[in-house]
Amino acid sequence: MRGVDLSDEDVIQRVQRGETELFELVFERHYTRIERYLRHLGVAERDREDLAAETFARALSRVASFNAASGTRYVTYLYAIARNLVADHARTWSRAPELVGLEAADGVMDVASHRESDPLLAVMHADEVQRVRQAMTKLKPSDREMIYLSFDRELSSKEIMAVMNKPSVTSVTTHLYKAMKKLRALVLANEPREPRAAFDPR
Amino acid sequence: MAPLDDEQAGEILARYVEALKNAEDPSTVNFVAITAAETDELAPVMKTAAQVAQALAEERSGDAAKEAVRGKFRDRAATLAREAAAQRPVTAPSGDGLPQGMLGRRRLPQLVGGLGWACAVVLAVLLFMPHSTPRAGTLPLSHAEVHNAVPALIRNQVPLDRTRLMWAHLVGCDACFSVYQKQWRQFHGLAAFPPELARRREMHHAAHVPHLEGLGALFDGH
Repeated sequence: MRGVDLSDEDVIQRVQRGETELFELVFERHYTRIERYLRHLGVAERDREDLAAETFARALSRVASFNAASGTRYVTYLYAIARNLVADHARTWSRAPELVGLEAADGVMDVASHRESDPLLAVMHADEVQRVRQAMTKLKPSDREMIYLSFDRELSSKEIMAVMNKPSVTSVTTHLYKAMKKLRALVLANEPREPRAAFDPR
Repeated sequence: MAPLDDEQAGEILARYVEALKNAEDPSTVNFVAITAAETDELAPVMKTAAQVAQALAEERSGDAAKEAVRGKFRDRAATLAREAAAQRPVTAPSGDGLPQGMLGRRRLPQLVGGLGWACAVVLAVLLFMPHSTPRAGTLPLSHAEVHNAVPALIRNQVPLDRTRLMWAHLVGCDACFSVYQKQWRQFHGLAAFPPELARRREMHHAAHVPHLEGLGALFDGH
C-alpha cells in the first residue's frame, strides 16, 4: 500500500482530500493499540470487536473534523473516540460492566518460553507477571486506563491529559502515582506467603 | 524524614515510566533512589512499574479477531457514509462523501487521470487568458512565492485567481515548473510526470516566449 512512510497526520490529510483507501493504514497501525485499550477499559470480549470497529468507522466518518495543523496527533484522537464510545456503551449496559481478566488465555503469551535458559527464573517471572495482571483487573477502570495509557510509547503525559480530560499534566502524573501505589498494594496482597516452618526449633 | 508529596512522586514516576516504555528491555532500566523518602516510598512503586512494563510488553492483542474487526469496520464505515450522504441536501455535491463500496480502492490511473484533467483545464484556461498576464518581460509572483505555494497547488488548495498567476509563472519558468513536477511526482508516488501535461505546457510556453524576454535574468535567483 502506498504511504507506508507517511505519518498518521499526513495520511489523514490525504484521506481528507479523498484518498479514503489510505485510512486502512490507520487501521493497520492502531488496531492492536485500540483493541488492548478497550480490553484494559474492561470491555468484554464479545463487545470489543464491535467497539473497535466502531472506533475506526467513526474516526473515518469524522475525518474532516481532524485538524492536523493544530499539532494534535491522530493517535490521541483515536483514543478519545474509543474512550467516548466505551462511555456511551457503559451507559447502555443494563448491568455492571463485565470486567475481563487480563490474564485471559487468548491475551497472554507463554512467558515461560522467554526464560527457557533458566526454568526457575521462568516460573518466577511468569508468577510475577501473572500477579500484576490479576492485580490490574482489581483496579478501578480509570486507574487501569491511566496505567495502560502511560505505558503507550506513542503518548506523552500531555496527550494522556487530552484523552482523559484531565486538567493538567500534573494531575496525570499524580493519578498515575496513586494508581501505581494501589496496584502495588494489590500485588503485595497476592504474593504467596512464606511457608510456615514445620516445627519451631526453639 | 519529610515524606514525598504525591505530585513530586508522580513526576519522578512518570519520568521512570518514560524510560521503561522506551527501553528495548524494561528489565535493564533501574531506578536509583536518592533520598530516604524515595527509598521507602518510591522504590517499591517503581518495582511495580517495572513489572507492569514487563506484563504489558508480553501481552498480546486479540489479533485473531483483527480481520473480523476490519470487516465490521468497513461495513460500519459504509453505513455511516450512506447515512451522512442521505442527510446532506440534495444539491450538495456528493464528492465529499465516501463512494459506494467504501474503501474499494480507487485506481491510481483514475486518480492521475482526474488530476491530469484538472491540470489540463487550468492550462486551457491559461491558454485563452488575455495576454495581460504575464506582462512582457516579467513573470507574475516571485520564484519564492511560487515555490512556497507549490504544495498547496498540487493539493488544489490555492484560490482560482492565485492559481492562474501561479500557472502563468510555471508556464514561463522552467526551474519552478521542474520543482512543481518533482513535488507532484512525490505527492502521487509516481516515477514520471505525465508527458502529455508536460507537452501542453511546452506548447503554451512557446506561445508566451515573446512576452518573457527578461526570463533569463530572473532565473539567476534559482
